[in-house]
Order: sequence, then C-alpha cells, then structure tokens
Amino acid sequence: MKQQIRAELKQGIVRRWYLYILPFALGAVSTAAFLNRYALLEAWTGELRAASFGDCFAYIFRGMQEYIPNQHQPFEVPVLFLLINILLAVLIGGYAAGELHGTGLNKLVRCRRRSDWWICKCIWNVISVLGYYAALIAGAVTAAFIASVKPGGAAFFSGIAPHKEVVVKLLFCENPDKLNDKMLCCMVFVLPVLTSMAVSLFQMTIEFILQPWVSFMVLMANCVFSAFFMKGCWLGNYMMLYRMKPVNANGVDWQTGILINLLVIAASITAGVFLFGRYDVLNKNSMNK
Amino acid sequence: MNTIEIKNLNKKIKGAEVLKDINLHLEGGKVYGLKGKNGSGKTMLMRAVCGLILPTGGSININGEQLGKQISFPRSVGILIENPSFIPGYTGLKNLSVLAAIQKRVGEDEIRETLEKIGLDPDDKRTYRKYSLGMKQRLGIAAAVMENPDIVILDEPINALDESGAKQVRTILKEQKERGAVCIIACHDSEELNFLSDEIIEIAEGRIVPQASQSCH
Repeated sequence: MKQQIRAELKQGIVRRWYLYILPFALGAVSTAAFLNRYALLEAWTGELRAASFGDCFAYIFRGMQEYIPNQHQPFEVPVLFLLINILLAVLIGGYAAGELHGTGLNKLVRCRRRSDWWICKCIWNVISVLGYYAALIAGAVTAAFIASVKPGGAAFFSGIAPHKEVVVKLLFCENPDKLNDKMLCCMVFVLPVLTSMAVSLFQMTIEFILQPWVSFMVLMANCVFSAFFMKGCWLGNYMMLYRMKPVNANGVDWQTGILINLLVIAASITAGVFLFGRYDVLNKNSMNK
Repeated sequence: MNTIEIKNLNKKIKGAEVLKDINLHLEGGKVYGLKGKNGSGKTMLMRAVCGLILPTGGSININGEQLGKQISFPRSVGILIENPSFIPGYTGLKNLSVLAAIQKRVGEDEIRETLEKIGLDPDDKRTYRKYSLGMKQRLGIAAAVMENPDIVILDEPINALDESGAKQVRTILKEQKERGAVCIIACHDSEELNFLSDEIIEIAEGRIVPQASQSCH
C-alpha cells in the first residue's frame, strides 16, 4: 500500500504540477487586491497593525455577504469564491475515473483489495487539496514579498494569525465581541481547507456513481446554491467568512461546519469503499466486445 | 498447480446478459484460446477472471480462493485487456518500474530482460507517447508478463504486431506456459489462435459452445 500511495502521489500530483500554476496565480492576484484594499482601509480608518498572512487569507475567503433578493440589491457573482472552487474541481475531477480506465487498470489488479485502491485515491485527493492550498499560499506570499521590496510598497506579512480588528473592519463584522482569536483561526485556516476536502472527496465519489462531468456540475450547483442561500446544508457557506455567525448574526456556525465537513468526508470515503467494491471496471466500448 | 474454477458464472450489465452459465476448469501450464465474434463475451470473461467485473451469479475460484469474496483480484495476474495504456511522459522501462514498485516482485534487471524478450530496447529514451502502435502493444505484453504471474490474460496480443512481434509473443507464451501459468488469450486470427493455444474455448452470445472446446496442435 505504501508503494501504491507513493506511485499515486508521483503520478497524480508531481506529474500534474502544471495544474497548480493557476491557484498560485489566483493567490498572487487576490493578495495584490487585498494589499490595495488594506491600504484603502488604512487610509480610511487610520493606523492599522501591519497585515498578517491570516488577514490576507480572510480576505481571499471572505466570499459574499448574504444575498437577500430585493430591487436595491442585485446579485453580485462571488467571482473569487467561484474561481477557487472551479480550479479545485478541475484539479480533482476526472483523474480517478480516467486513470482507472487507462494506466490504472494495471495498477488496480496489482492491489490486494479494491478498498486499497480507493483509499489510495482518497489520500491522493486529500494531498491534492493540501497542494492546492499550498500553491494558493505560495502565490500570496510571493505577491506580498514582491510588494514589500517595491519602493513605497506595502510591508510584508507581519505574522501568520489573523488580526481580529483587521478582520472586523475588513468584513464589517456584526458581532465583533463574539469573535475570538481561536475561532478566527479556525474560520480562516481550518474551515476552507476542510470544506475543500469534503467537497473534493464528494466529487470523486460522485464520479463513480455518475460521470465526471456530472460530478463537476453537482459541485458547481453547490457553489451557486451556497452563494444564493445562507444555509448550513450548502457546504460553500463554510468557505465564506461573510456567512459565519460572528460576522453575520444569522450566519452559519463554524463548529457545525467542522462537524458537517467531517461527516461528508467520512461518508464519501465509506461510500466509495462500498461502491467501488461493487463497481464493474468497464470501458465505454466494452459492451460492444 | 495454478487453477481457475468457474462455476455457473453469469453476468448482467444494464439488463443485458453478457455471460451465461459459464463453467470452466482452467489449469496451469496450458494456453487457453478464447474464440468468438465481436460482442460474444470473450473480453467480459477475461475481465471477470481478473476481478475487474463482479459476477451477477456463480463463482470464480482462483487457486481455491473466491474472487470478490476472499480476494478482490487474483493474487498474481498479468493483464493486457484492450488497448494498453501507460504514463505518456515516461519511457517504457520507467513505466514498468512504476508498476513493478507496487508489489516489488521484480527488480530492474528482470524488467530489462522482459523488455528485451519482447523486442523493446530498455535503454530507449523515447517516452511512451512517441511509441508506435506496435511498441505500445509490446510494452503492454511486457507489463503483463514481467512479474511471472500465475495467470496471464492477453486480449488480442498480436494486434498491431509484425511477424517478428508475433513470434516473440509465441515464445513468451511458451515460457509462461512452461513455468506453470494459466494463460488465457483472445485473438481474431483463428489460425494464430489455434497455433498459440492448447485448448480453444468458443464463446457465442455469452455462452460456451460445448462442441467447440477442443485441443489444438
């Protein structure tokens, strides 16, 4: 199994390095946008602590405010939120199912059990998500560094943890008193990653029940519904700080978010073991043979 | 001795019966040739034997262990089913090394030896994507036999091969047979199939055609 995992990571991550360029660029561009916004905020509110990496991440995962349909508030497409999810879906989508019908057939029969193959794919999936975030972070750090060396540019990140007062001002937090540092770190660093893992594992499981393109559509539907409805059942809400309870008084609870995401992760892995154990590995043309 | 025992095997896919009441006893040291028209069920039977599809009814026992119950896949199997597919950016040697690393049964020397036997240069720097059809087919066969598996399943092994390639396949099959492997092959060329096989199993509409089970040579 160790060898299988090693081969999986080499083939599924190292050899697909180019897929991490776009999240890197996304991290860099959104950090540049954050630094501009931060400078404006500083000019508007007076002296602020130097921005930390956490503040930047909070900006990237701010999402969109609750959408309440009325004539005065048109729906604004949460471009960054959608891009983050689309790029991740592209990274994950199609690999497991596609590999199974290509190179993976020879790998599969060399596995001891079908469940081993699925577990390897789940490990690949989780590490891919971590790699995706690593690329996003690398882009953010690079952009911040370039800005800091530029004459008259912004200072480099002052630390890792997000600053409560910055986030409160940046997101117009409705209940700043209820926001604490531990909660903020969980909302900024843990929830987006955990939600992405849950969504990606769910996507991979759906691929085997339906088709890779259908799983992609299901994911996009989740993004759109998450943007429209501030409800805990739409996982995308846990990737948007604007939708979290202390920021929005009616928002979703971050602890519930962690629990729901863990449940989705466990359910996807278990369902995959069960489904793949009964899955017929057929090529599209097999019925004609 | 390696054995494959297939009892009352049935397989339905999307309501269509692709394998019906298959009963076979296959022994090591023999080459079994599957004969039949397109869509007769040859590939399905091969997929069932290597655990890629699960029976709707009946059982397949490999050396006494039931596929799908005690084991997911035969403990030692080499397959070439339909078109071979490898990592496009790797050389032949590297591709086989990646596969061999999973079970660690063979090292680089054995892989090199297998490549030479099938007519591929182990030191060829060309990547798989630059291989010709014949070379891809050879690499697929090498992947199937490099670990000297107990069961060798080759679907259309001489596809895209020239005369020398076909000759090399014959030699390899002979070697596999002599070391006691159960070899199952399917081939559209009846003459070649008769030549390669010890026994012919004819399949029509998912069923074994009884009168056609015959010894060759």
